[in-house]
Amino acid sequence: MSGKQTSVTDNPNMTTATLVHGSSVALDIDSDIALVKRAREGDFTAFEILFERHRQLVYRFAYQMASKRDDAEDIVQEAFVRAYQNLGKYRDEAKFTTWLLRIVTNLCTDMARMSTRRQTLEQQEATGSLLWMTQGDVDDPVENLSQDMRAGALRKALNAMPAHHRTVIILRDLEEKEYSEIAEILGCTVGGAKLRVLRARRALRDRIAPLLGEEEKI
Amino acid sequence: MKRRDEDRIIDLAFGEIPDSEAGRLQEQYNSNPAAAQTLSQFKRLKADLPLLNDIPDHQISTERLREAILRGGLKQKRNYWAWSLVPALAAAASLFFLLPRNPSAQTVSRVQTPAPETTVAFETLPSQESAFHPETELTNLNHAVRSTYSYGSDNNGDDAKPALKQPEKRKREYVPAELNSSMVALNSAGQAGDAVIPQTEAAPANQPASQAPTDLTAAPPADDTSAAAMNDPQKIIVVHDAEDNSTGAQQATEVDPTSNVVVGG
Repeated sequence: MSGKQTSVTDNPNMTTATLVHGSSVALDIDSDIALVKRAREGDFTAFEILFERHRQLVYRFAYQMASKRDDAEDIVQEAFVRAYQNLGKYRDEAKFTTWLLRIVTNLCTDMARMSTRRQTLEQQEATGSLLWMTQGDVDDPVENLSQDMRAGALRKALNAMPAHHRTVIILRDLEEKEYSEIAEILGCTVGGAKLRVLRARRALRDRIAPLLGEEEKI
Repeated sequence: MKRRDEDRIIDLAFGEIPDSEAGRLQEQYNSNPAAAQTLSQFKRLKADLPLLNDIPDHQISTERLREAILRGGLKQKRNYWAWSLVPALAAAASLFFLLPRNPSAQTVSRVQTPAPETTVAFETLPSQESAFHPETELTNLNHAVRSTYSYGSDNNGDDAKPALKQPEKRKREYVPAELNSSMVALNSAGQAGDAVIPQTEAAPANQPASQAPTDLTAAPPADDTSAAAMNDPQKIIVVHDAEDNSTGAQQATEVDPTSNVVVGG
């Protein structure tokens, strides 16, 4: 074969790429798209590689949305079940993680709608009651306490926000996604995504300012 | 503070403004206390947000996830294009039922039809069965005459089997094929009597025997006047209780259907 082998990606998971007959199109056998293609044809091990690769990402996002490990794990499971069921609907022009996060976003939004106010209060109370048990990152105990209080207030404010605001804060400021990807996940334009992020940040500041002000008084 | 300025402050705090412009805006907002306070709030928010990344490890087992995924299965891709045929099929069906049919074509098809479904004819019976046996057959005479259906026999003629079954709900008794010939004898004599049998299911007069369905019917005997009378839809056979002197069988009379008689059992 006159083609040569070369690496076309920086992803260490993607080890092999082949250029056939000088073609500029390279196909990585470990790429998400290739794995999706194999999974569509019935190769479940290919999908196993996909969920091992992206499970942590989905769990992190779900935990930020749900603030409860059990709920987050349920969301992860349901997200991968739906992803596998609907592999036929996945279009290759979008990244697999973008499509996956879109599923997770919808699931989290549905869950937020279904959850009652009482459950939210219970979660907030449980988070607050366990604050004293958390271990700080720095050696200074005063700084640790202050950091914990800020984190608790931030978590409380984030949980109290509407799901659509929470989603964009997590995507942009915690997961550090690009605006173009956020736009794809939310199904809107890039300008629309920027506007949503801006509004969400302002809403978060409005919610956390009273909490921090009260804590500073203490 | 204007909302537009606050938007710029948010962008500045979160590092989404180019460096060249960021320095100029920073100096501008530092001179304004309200803007400086807002900027510091958002910068603090930006600095605190990574604290939320401290999340506990998940405890999802791979086996649990695998089982759940496999239980859900892979959905088969649907052929949505098939639904586009539905309106076309519906339109074709409606046209088929709504459009008037060509009467000449209908006439031609009628001529070419070999026999209507309700046609009843008689199978040709072996010679020994066409003879009348009054001692054995008289008991079943009423049933035979009332029945408008014929029964044939198999090839060896040992046992008669029903050759035609009509879709009647009423249960019918078994009648041997020899009774066709007993009707021949009854047709020649008799008076007004007990039972009246309308011959509504007889074969049409213009129906050739060769075109009759072979599994159901056969041509009537050539010398059988009773069968000929039964083929005539205008005739009614009346069976009497009185016995004939010469044969000992019940008497029967062929009457016109316009007579003032009660039809039925």
